[in-house]
Amino acid sequence: MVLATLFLVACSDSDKPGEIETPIEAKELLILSEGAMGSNNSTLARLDLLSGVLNPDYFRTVNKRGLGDVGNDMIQYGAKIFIVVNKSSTIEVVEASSGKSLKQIPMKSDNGQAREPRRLAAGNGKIYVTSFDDTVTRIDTASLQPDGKVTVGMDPEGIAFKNNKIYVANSGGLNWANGYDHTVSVINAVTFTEDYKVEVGTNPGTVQADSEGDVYVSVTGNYNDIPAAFKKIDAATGEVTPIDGIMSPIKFIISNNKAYIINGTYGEPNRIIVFDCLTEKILTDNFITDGPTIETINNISVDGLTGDLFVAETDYITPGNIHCFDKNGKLKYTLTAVGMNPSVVVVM
Amino acid sequence: MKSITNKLFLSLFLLCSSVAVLDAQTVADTLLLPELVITERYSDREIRSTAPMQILSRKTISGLHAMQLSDAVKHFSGVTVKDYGGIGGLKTVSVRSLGAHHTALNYNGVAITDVQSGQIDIGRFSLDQVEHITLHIGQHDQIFQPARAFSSASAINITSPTPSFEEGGKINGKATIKAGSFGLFNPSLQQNLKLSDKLLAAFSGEFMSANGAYPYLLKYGSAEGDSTSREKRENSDVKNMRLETAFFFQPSRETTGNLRFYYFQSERGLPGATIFYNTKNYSKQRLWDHTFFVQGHMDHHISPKWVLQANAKYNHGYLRYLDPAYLGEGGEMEDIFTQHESYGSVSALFKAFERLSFAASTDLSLATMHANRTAFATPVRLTFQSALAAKWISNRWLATASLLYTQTDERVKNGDAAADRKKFTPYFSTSFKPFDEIDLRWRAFYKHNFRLPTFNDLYYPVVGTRLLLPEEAQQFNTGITYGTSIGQAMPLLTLTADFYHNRVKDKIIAYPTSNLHQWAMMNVGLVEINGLDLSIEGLVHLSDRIQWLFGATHGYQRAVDKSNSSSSSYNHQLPYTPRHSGSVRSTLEMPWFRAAYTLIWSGERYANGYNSEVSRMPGYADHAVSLAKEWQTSMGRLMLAVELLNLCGKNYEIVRNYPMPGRSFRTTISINF
Repeated sequence: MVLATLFLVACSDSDKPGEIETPIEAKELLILSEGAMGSNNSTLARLDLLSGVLNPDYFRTVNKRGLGDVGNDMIQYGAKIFIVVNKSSTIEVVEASSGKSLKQIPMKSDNGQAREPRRLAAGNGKIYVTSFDDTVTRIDTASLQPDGKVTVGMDPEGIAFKNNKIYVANSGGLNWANGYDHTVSVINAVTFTEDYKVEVGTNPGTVQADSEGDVYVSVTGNYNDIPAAFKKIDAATGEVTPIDGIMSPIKFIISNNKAYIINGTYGEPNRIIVFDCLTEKILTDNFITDGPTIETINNISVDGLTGDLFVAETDYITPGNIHCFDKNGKLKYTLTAVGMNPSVVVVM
Repeated sequence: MKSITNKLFLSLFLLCSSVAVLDAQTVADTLLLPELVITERYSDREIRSTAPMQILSRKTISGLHAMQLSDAVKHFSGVTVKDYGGIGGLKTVSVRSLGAHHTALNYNGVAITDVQSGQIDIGRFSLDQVEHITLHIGQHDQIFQPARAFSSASAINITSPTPSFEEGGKINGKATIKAGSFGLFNPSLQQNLKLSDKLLAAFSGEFMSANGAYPYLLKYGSAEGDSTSREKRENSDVKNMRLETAFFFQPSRETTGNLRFYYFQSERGLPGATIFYNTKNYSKQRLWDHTFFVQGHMDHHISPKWVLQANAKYNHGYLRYLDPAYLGEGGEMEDIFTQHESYGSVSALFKAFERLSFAASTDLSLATMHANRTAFATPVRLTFQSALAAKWISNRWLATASLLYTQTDERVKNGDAAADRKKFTPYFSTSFKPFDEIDLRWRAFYKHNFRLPTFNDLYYPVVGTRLLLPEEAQQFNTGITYGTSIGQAMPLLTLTADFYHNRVKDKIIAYPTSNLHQWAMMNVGLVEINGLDLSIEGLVHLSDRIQWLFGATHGYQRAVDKSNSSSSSYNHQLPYTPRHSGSVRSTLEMPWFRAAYTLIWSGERYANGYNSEVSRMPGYADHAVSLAKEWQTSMGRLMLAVELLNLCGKNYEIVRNYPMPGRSFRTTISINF
């Protein structure tokens, strides 16, 4: 068992996480690092919040094997954790309490080729997975068997489940040379068929829904003359409107009707914009009020109970850090060199 | 002068015939070295050089278990070969941690260039047609060279044999067949013709194929007890063909020249990394490349004090990449790149005084690149290089100095062109021999050079960044060389020890961004490298008929990232750079057969700039042995060799997730006729 002691970056008034006020429920963090492509170094780290001990290679120490190549997304559903590993083309189903792999679901086509699963959403006892073979796969969370597949647009990325509807951002990222996709697929979760596609703009990336059923999409543009934008698909009218003041959204997450948006303006450090999905106003242009400047944010995760925000920092070259901020944007602690391209954090 | 040109003439047309039977340490140097003596011993050259120089002669190479140039280069000290495994796997060479782009590869005096990627795959050069390979760190002591030869931090020179004929002979040649594990089949033929007393021709052709389907053990973790599985490398096949014609002429005693036509084509699979849980059907990617070049050289002795030379080359490269299993629309991804380069150089040597000579060279090259992408930049780069050099020789001192001026003019069809560059780069070197009777020398050099961003770095669709600065490298070296002989029993023993300090600024690197498909280029910080290279080489006459040739190298490198003191990789060793590495070679020549043993070893390394347990890669040792025998038959001299490679059979990795083949064998049969 390789257990590394937690490294805390000195911050004027930070403390050990064990002594930080956290709800009694939160005992541990699971941190997924994507790894670098072709390196088989995606890792799942576990931080014991009481002892402050970090095991950076938790999945491997428990299961005697690594996660594989490019762990793109992770979601908790009940007592299980689902992890998609893009280039290994697998979904690891992990027992949340022990870190044990309950099942490795291969995501291969009939001819044995990788389908390259990408992102996850959950709802009504099912897990929904986007894959670069232009599909959404449904997996039953009890039997852990795939039990349905729907064809959507090109190279689907982000996915969200709301009110028995599944929203899928069709990026067309693999078709960048000849033109990106520009739609969000809306799937009826009951019949598991695609109802229709909504035109949202070039290269949609992340899609998330608020409690009113409004759906938000970040469109990335073409990295050239078509700019990025943050857009809303209205729950009632289906109308797509851009949100002013959010110019370069990358990934975002909605928690308690607040959208935390990574904004990546060229030549500036990334910022986190917080947008209130109910009042539809920007709450802050820069969430971090007291903490380090983070040049590149790979992903963000929110603890729904406390509002703590986990910011995954990367330089793409060396192992990155996880910074934990309280709901007011004040740094609580930093975990350094957690893994290559750290990404999603699950609080348990 | 007369005697020198005489010697030249002889060495080119008569003496060469004896090359094959001469001892390794007395191989005649048939290179043109007008400011030096014409014939000298290689071992002398290694220890007399003011900058580290290493030579592998054909005879030495025959005991190295080397089929590809990369196999032999691993025996040079100070060298790190990045080897992606298998015969078809990419192999690039970095000298003293400066990076592959700072290593030039010269083929019979003219640089092999790749304006697209800037790095040469040294795996694609076979050793079938090689007289000797030299590695120069810093610069050659020969100042009479094209300007381009002054522009790299180090250079590997491949020299092909000049045809030679026995008295009255007009035709000779060699046929070879190699076969071995993983489907290796490699026939080659070489034919030399004496067309007249003033004109020789050499033709050679070679075909090589291998399925590359070698077994390996895939490890799902580096700890004791972690899972493993037995796998076989897929899509690792390769097919190469090389055709070459060379003409050697000497119209007068004052003038010599040669003209070479070279064609190479290959098709190979790109197996990619060994991805956990996805090794079957993982990659179907293919790569085709064609290279054609024609190069000419001419030199002329105007007077005892003046010599001129001219070199020219035209190079055409074609590269096609296909991923027939691409998940994007259309189900495949194809890229076609072509490049052209025209190059010309003139140089003059002025032997002003007995001890002091000067040289001046001017080169011009025009390079273009095309791609099958809409709105591709289609860059054109005109490079002007001019060098002035001086050399001083006395009994005790040898000193050289040069100044290179480089100017580029860059244009593109679409978008903006990268900035034009103008730069002066100096070089100084010296050696001193304190005692008359003892062959002991101190030497030192300083070199400043840079490498321009390549066309890929600047213009590769989506990835290229036009604002890139040239990458700067500075080298300091000081060392001691010693040569001796101990009576008849040990006619040769040489030792060298060199300490160096290198700095690389604004290193050009590619890094992935938040989008998986979107890479970008940038200049990063500073790398500092301190190192020590040691070498020993010797020859022992065990009896009248048995001799033992041995050599060993050891390198120590501390190559650390000094870019940003707040970065986690600050002061950490560069990725894939072992602190300790080395090689051993040993050949026993007996009347009955020749037995050879080689070892390439490396200490532990890290796969990441942040050195941690997770990125640590264990060291490795690759042992190989061989037996060879020669017979004189009525058809000619027949040679049969059997090689056993990677005896321990471990699938060690030089690049993480690219395992090397395990135990394998190779047999060679050849006949000189």
